[in-house]
Amino acid sequence: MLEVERIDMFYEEYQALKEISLEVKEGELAILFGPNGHGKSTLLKSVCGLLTPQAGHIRFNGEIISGLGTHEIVKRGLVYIAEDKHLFPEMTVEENLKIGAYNTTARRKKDEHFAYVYGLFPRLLERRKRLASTLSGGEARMLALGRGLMSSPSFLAIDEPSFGLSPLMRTEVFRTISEINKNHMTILLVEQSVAEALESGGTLSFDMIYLIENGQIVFEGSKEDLVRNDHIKEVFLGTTD
Amino acid sequence: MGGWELNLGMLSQVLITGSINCAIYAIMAVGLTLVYGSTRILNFAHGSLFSWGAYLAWFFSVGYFRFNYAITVVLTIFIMFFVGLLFERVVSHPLRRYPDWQTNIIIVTLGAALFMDNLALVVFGPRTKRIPRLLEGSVNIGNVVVDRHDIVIVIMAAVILLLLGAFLKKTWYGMAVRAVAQDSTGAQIVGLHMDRVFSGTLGISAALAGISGILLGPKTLIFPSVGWEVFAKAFVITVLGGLGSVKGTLYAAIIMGMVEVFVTYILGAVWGLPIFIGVLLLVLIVRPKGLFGTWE
Repeated sequence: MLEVERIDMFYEEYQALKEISLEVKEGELAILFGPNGHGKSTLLKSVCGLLTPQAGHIRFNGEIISGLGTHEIVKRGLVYIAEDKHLFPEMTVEENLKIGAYNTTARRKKDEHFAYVYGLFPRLLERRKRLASTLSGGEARMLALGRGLMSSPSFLAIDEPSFGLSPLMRTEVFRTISEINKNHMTILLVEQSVAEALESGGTLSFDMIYLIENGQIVFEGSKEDLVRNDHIKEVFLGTTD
Repeated sequence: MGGWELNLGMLSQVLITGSINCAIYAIMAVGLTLVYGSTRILNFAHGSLFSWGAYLAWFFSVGYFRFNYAITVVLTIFIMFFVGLLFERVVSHPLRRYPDWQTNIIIVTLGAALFMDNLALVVFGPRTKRIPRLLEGSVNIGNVVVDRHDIVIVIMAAVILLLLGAFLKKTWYGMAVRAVAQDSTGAQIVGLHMDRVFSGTLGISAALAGISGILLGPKTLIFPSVGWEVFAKAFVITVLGGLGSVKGTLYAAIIMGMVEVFVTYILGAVWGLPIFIGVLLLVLIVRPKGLFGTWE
C-alpha cells in the first residue's frame, strides 16, 4: 500500500535519510524502530507531505505522492499522527475532533467517525467540552489519535505514541493501536525503544519490523527474523536471548 | 479641550465619541490580528486598504457613479475582499517559497502600501474628497446630540463583529481559520488547504479595512495617506491585545478607544496619537505578548 523507494532527505547540508526504502502492505502493522535523531520522524514527515524528499519516490496505492501537499495526501487516506501532537489548544476536544473531519469524504461520515472515536476513547467523550490545552499527556495522545481517525484514513503513520506515558498507559495505547489495525487500518508505527515496545506491547502483533540507524535501514523482517538475529538483538535489545 | 470639570453632559459626549472610536478601531484591529494569527504577516498595507475603501465609496456614490449607499457598500466590500485574495495569491504565496520570507514580507507589504497610496493619487487626483454620511442629521439622547451617522457606525460595527464571531465559531471555514492560527502544523496534518485559508483570511481582513474606510470616511477628508493614522492605532491595539488573539484585540480596542477620548478631552487633541505610542512602549516593556497573546 505504501512504497518508499530510495528517498534522500537533506536538512541544508545534513543528510537525514539515505536511500531509504520500505514497504507496508495493506492491512499490515509495521514498526520502525531507531534511536532519536536517526531519521524516524523525518521519514514519517516525508511520507505525509510535510517534507519533500530530494530524491526517490513515495507511492501510496500505486500513485506517487512525494511532492504532494499534506492536504492532498490526507484526501487520499494517509494520515500522520505527530509525536508533538499539534492539537488546537483553544478548541475543545470535540472541536479538535470535528476539524479532523474537514476533508470532504470525512465530513460526510462525520457522525460515524465520532461514534467510532468516542467508542475507542470514552475519556474523550467525557472531556469533550474541555479545551485541548487542559488535557493530560495521555488524553492528549488519545485526542491526537482520535483526530487522525476522524479524517477517514485507510493508513495511519503514528510517531511515538507512547512517549512520556506511564507503563500502564503505554500498554493501553498499544492495545488500542492493535485494535485499530484489526479493524482494517494499515499502520506504520514509529517507536524509539524496541525493548519497551516489545515488552509492554505484548498484545501488539506486528507484521514487519524495520530498524533505522543514521538515516539508513539496517534491518527489515518479521518478529521471528529479529529474534533469530543475534547481532541486531544485542545492539537494540541489549541481550542475546 | 477643558479642565477637570466633567459634568454629565460632557461625560456622555465623551463616551459617545469614545464608542465610535472603539467601533472603528475594533474592526480595523481585528482585521489586522486575523491576518497575523493566520499567516504571521503584519500587513503594513492595512491602512492603505482603509484609504481605498473610502475612495471606492466616494467613487461609487459621488465621484463617478451615483449609486445609492447600499450598492456602494456592497460593491466596495466585494472589491476589497478580492483585492485581499489577489494580494495573497499573487504576492505572498510565491514569496513563501523562500526561507527568509517572514522578514521579506514586511517589506513587501510596506511596498504594497506605498504602491496603493500612489495609485490612489494617480487615479483619483490630489484633491481631497468628501463623501456624504450614511444618514444625515442628528438625534437627541438625553441631553446629548448624536449624529445619526455615528449611531450607524456603532451599530454596524457591532453587527459585523457578531457576524465575524459566528463565522469563526460555527462555520467549517471559520474553524479552519482558527485552527491555522492556533497550530499551523496541526492544520496541515488534518488536511486543511493552507493557501486557501491564507487567501480567505486576507480577503476578510481587506474587507474589514474597507468597511472601516466607508464608515469613517464621511467624518474626515479623504486623501491617499488617510489610512496611516488609523493603521498606527490599530497596530498598537493589536499588540496590546496580543498578536493573533481576536478576543484580546477587542478588549484592547475598547480600552484604547476610551483612553484616547478621555486623554484628548483632558489634555487636548494633539495627545491622541502620542498616547498610543506611549501605550505601545509600555506594553513592549512590561508584557510584550499583550493581554491575551501567546508568544510566537
